[in-house]
Amino acid sequence: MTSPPLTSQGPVDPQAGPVQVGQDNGSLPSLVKVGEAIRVGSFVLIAGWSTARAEFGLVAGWGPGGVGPGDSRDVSAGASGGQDLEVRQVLVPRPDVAAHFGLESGEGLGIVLVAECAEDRSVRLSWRADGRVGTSCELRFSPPSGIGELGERERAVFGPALGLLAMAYEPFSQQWLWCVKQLKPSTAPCPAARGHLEGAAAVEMTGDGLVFGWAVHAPASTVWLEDGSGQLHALRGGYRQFRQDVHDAAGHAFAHGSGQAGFTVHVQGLKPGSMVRLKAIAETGVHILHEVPCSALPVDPVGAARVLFGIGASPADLHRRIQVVDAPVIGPLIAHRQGLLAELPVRSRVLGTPPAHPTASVIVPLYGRVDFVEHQIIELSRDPWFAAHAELIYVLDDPSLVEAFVADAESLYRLYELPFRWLWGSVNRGFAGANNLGAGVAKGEHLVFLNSDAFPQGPGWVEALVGVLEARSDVGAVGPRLVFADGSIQHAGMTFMRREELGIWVNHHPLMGLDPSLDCHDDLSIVPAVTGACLAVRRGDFERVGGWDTGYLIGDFEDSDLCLKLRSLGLKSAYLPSVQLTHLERQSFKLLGQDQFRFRTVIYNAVRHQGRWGDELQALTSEAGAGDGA
Amino acid sequence: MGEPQRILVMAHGHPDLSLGGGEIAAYNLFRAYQDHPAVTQAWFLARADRGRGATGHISLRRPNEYLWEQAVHDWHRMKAAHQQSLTTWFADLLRGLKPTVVHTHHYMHFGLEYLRVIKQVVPGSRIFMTLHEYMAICRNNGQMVKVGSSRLCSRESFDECRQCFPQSSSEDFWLRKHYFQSYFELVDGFIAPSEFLRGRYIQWGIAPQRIVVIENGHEDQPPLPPRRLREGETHNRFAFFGQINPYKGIDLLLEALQAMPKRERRAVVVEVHGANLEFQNGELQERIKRLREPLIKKGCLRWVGPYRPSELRSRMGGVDWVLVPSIWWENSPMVIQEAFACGRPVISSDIGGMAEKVTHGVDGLHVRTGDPLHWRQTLYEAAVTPDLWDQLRANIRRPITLAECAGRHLEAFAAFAR
Repeated sequence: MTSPPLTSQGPVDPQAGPVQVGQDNGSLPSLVKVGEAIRVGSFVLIAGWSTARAEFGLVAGWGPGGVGPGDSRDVSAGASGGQDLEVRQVLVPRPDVAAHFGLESGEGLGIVLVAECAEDRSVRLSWRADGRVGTSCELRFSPPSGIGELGERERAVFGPALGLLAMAYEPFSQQWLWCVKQLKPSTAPCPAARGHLEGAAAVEMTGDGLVFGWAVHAPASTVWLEDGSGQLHALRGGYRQFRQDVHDAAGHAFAHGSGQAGFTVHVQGLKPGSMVRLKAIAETGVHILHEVPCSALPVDPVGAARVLFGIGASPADLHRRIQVVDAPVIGPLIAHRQGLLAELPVRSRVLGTPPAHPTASVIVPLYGRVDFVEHQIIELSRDPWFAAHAELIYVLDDPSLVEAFVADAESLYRLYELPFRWLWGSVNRGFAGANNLGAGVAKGEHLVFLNSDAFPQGPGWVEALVGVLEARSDVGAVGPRLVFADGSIQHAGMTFMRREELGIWVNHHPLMGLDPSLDCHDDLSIVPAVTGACLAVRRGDFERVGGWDTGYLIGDFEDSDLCLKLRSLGLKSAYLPSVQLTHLERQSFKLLGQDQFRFRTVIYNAVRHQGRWGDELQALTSEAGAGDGA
Repeated sequence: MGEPQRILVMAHGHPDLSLGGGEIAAYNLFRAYQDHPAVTQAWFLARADRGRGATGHISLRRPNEYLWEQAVHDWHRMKAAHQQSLTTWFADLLRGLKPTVVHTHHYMHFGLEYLRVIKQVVPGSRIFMTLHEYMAICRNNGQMVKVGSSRLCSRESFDECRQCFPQSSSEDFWLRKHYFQSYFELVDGFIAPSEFLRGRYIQWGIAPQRIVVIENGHEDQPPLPPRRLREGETHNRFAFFGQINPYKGIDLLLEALQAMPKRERRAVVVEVHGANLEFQNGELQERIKRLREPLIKKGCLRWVGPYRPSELRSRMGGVDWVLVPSIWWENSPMVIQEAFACGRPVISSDIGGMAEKVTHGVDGLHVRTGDPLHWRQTLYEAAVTPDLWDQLRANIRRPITLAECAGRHLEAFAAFAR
């Protein structure tokens, strides 16, 4: 080959044969040859080889051979004008070229160029070498054998480079997605990432599920999940945590430290039985790091919660995970179940003749035990105001109690002659659902919700609670003092307390355990909230706020939630210390840490509660500190 | 009491069918009411087990005496097993009898609900209850003895009771007390056979003005003459009368005898007139049988066996002293009254109703409760101390007659504020 003149070169055709660019390097000619040129979608791919020490680029023009508007640059290139494209370049080995030229290694001899370029624009190869620039003639593109994608032939040529290209694009961007889709996944060990799926589970009905495991990767690499239908899901946005075991085993494999290798991700669209894959991209392309079948989560929210709460996250951290994983999975299940309940039959019986237009309806849900009922009736039957002005509604909420209670109810009425109604709604509905069911049939102007293990200490208590609602239009909920069996205070209003170590706000009972004589409240007092164990509310207000919220898991926080809903209507909660009941308080959930599941359920509910009321909890806590007279 | 009274007496058993001090006392009082001029009519309603379960049936045993086949299965809650009969046949009986007073001696085997039914069906009538044990206070058979040991209990509390019955919670005991107290509020007045029991119930929560003490009455019979002694014999014949159960302390007597050297043993004779050993648990039966065999051989123990109530006087006639070695509080044991009625001094434990009804050094002797060696010492000294027996016997006050007892009750009924 003769040396070409050292001037800018006019268009040459690198596709027809090797083209000289720049000066030869000793005996090695400085050449470039374009082998393949294809368009795929909005991308152009150019593959070839070069022995030159040159920088290559692509120039786009308008139409064949013409100069497009705005192509004013590159005059010095001596080219007929055009727009430099943003080009990604990858070097690949070409042992065949090396062999031809007698070179030791083919590393770096192959070139792949990828750029985004509209389909109607022409593309020319450009280069700069030894101070000179040049462009080729318009490149001729062969149609790809795959429609919109690379076929086998192209993959063989371009494939290896696409991994690198992908890593340069923003993960999950359109370009990145396109590259990834072209690459056939490999099960060979990935040089840029390691990972493991520890489980995948989803609810068949909703498609909500989760995938958990761990992954470590080089900073440039990306790891993602792919579900059975080929949908990709990022790990970002899921819950991440440090994993000591992973850190010890592979922490420094790809980067300084393992970062937050553990992940639990909420995935929509998972199907039980299908495979879930953990994939990563490296220079070598796409790798499958691990795959597991997706198991089924129960559609019952408690069952699903048991599974989820068993997946490791420390209690301190659980609140973060709940927001992004547990709540999106469990929340819809709770809502769905509640929706089903509306269709179920409700059995009802009235014993005796309650007042036709009661001032108050006392609603008592029954769960676990029914022997409390007689004790309540003993007290209520001694209350003349109650007999004249109130109706009593028991809502059975436990299938194991129905048979015995139905029989007992008859005896109880015959013995005590206090009229009452009972309901059975076919299934357990939970505190909120059962109380709402009772409220639905109640005729009283006021509703008084009472736990089955709360016992009046004498007559007149309903009258007094209702009296507050009638006298104070600014009050929406009233609660009395509750004492334990030993006489000490169980409830004197509720406040909110920050449990920073768990990341949650919980409801707190100040003065609990003290002798009632130490109650600092002398009279009716405005408080942040009152307990649902004994709570009086106007029926109109109750209906306006939509009753008890049924979105909590099993139960908890519904009472403060109701009080906060009333507060958003401008109605306050009040504590009436002059009325006192005994509350045996056996069933509440406490953060005592003995039962893991219940412990985590409290956190779940707290997260939901503060997700709705976060600002108010803070505000009310500051207010309460400043004094709480009515 | 001004107007003539119509009194229904209720007891947890009929003495014809079940022998126990409580049943007998209730029945005797019923007969005494019948004889009292201020009472126009008196009836007796006893719980009975006629071998066919709690059918709830009421039946007539003889004129003015009814039986009710009722039961309590849950002694924590004291609820009647047959609920329906409360507001049907029992209510019918009340409506028919129209009592002005219901004097009840028990709720065991009846349940408590019947108290409410009385107030419902005969609202003008008044309910008076004689308390014979501590069942309202103590779930352990009403004994106020800790479960599983013979440690005495002075006071109930929810947490302590839970320790005796760990399968129940302290809240369950709150519920039990709430239930009993609310039913006891339906009672217009309480009778206690001893100051000791009255004190315990006041501590539990019955207002002092609502509970009085009236002794049990006794048939009007003259005291028995002393036992004829043989030449050289002293008043050394001691006897236990009653049920053989773990609370009665018979094993103490046997241990006391066993601890005596020959010289002492020769000086005493102990007779056991006891019933129902064969119904006790295996351990107690074994122990007693093991202890008594050698003593019987040695002649210091006579195992006489059960007796019918009509035989009691003659048996007491054959002994000098009556022994009441109970290891629980006792209330007002009938055997003490029987002994005094027969003119026999009593040697008893030093607690509860025994300490009240027997005065040490006056009409009897006290022994440290549960102490076999002190029993040994006391038995020996009682047998050999000259003139002791005569002195004590001379101080014995005869129990009040049944007629007097009935009269005192009617006065108390009038005195209880409406």
